[in-house]
Amino acid sequence: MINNYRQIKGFFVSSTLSLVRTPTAWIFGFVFPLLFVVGFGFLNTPSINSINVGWVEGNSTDASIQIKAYLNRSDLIILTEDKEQDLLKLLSAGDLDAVVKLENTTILVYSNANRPENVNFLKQNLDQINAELTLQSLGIQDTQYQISEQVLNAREVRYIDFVLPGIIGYSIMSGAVFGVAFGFLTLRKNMVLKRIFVAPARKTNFLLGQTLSRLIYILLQNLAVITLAAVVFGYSPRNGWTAYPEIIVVMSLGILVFLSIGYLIAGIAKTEESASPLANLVVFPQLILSGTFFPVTNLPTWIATFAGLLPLTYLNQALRAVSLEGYHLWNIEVAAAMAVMLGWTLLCFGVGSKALSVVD
Amino acid sequence: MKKPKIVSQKLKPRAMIQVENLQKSYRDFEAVKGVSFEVFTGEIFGILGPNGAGKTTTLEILETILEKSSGSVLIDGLNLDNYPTRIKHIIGVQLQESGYYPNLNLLETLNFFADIYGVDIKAMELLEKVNLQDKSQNRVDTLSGGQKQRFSIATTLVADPKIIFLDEPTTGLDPQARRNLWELIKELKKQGKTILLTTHYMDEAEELCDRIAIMESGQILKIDTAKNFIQDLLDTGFVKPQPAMGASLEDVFLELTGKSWRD
Repeated sequence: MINNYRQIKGFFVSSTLSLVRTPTAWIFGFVFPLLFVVGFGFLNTPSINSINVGWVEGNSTDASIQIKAYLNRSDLIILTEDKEQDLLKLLSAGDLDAVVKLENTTILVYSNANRPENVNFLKQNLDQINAELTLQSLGIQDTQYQISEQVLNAREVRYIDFVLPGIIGYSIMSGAVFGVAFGFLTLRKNMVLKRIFVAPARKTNFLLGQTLSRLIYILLQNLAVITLAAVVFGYSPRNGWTAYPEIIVVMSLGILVFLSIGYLIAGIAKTEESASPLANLVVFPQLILSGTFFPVTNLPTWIATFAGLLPLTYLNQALRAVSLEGYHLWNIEVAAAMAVMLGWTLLCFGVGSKALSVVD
Repeated sequence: MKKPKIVSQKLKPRAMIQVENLQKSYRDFEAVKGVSFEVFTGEIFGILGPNGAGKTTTLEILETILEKSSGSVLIDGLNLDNYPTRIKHIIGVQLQESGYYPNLNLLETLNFFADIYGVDIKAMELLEKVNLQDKSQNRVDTLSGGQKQRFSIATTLVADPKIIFLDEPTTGLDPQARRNLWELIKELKKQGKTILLTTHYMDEAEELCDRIAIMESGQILKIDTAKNFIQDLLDTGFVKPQPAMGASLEDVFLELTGKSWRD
């Protein structure tokens, strides 16, 4: 007697029309994260904390060991030893500032075109090492090394690349939690739900249609933010355009987590007045503790443990892994983060949909 | 040709709604104290009573929104306890207060209800029935009070119900809007709908209702036609202290301002 498909469609269409015609929803969902993007987009600080240098393995002459030791002496230089091929990949992805390779009497430096300061620092160091080696060359080496440089184009890793996944995570969280909690309670307060459920509407169909509508709406909003960040501030995922389908999957799961938390809040709070502090209680600690603007590893242990429970932590982790690190969904870190998000979704949706009463 | 069937129906009209000993109590008070009544097919039945008499509570139980505490309700022969969803499909409900999805226009809202009922409708024709065809692209919240009530009635008609519940349909409306709504309700009766309405206006009950139940403090005091009520009162020797004039102030007002649709 009840046509589930038509009911879901009806709820989906009405909720979507209602959403896109509400200006405040746009402001919170689009303009707010955009301000963050613009703010952080101009804040493109070059990383001066460390100089990441790749050291091509395989050469174990005394001289090579000595040069390596000299380079390691510097607090600023961080050496990564690996095969030439792999190191050059890291360089072109923007993870390394330079790759150093010893060939007979030549020190070959592949340098990252985007990091001239860091490369210069490395070259000064190498010059100094070369001079020192020449001075003690009596017993070790009688030839002076030639330093030759080859500049390579690499992907430019900007601050926006690090911070955008965090902004998107935050925007998804606040859009979904506030949107669904207040949206639902407003519909109930204004007797919209009472009128609907006097007709033979099913709560499950209502939740499905409503959830689908908000999922697509929030997804499109945030894709618009990402597009703007890419066009104006040069954001690019590590794997380029091919990363977007995977980013969208992670974002969708993130939206579902926070929509279900929104339902849970609406179910517990009953009124808009009590939903407000509850929603803020859920949103703000996560904004600060989940690695939105700085890595979570800088936190004291007990707070880090708490942060390790929060869904936004996992959304940020998964988004960064896919966008910044170029991992795929089946990577263990990404898959684990997604599993935690799925767990949160099922838990909150299960409890939330039970607690929700459509008619008071 | 004679039609004896109709005669017998007139003698014993079929009850569309049968309520027996209906009771609803909350923790601290009893809102409905065991009421019984029947609403016959095709009639307009009115529950008349002051605010707080239990009219809305009674109605909302029949509308499947509220759970009753005890008693039995049959709607078109269906037991409310067993078939709430089937009942929802044959009733149209105008709540005392109701809202619609924000920012949708009238056509979109009607189509939404068609999706919920799973029926195909001609939304524009429904709007014509309530004289709102010119407002089809307007949003519900831009309508005036009378227009909102008419639109609300249009939403009750979406699934072509057998029974229509109207909870204080004219409360807060100006005289013209009230009269327009009365005409609309009479039109629905002509189309064969059974109508159960609540009101606290005597003139409304007298004008519209075939039978009236007078309700107070959760109890139905008496059920009868308006004519019989008045006759019974007169039979007791009752005389109105001030004999009424041939016309009322409302008649004067309507004469001066006209009776046309104006909102």
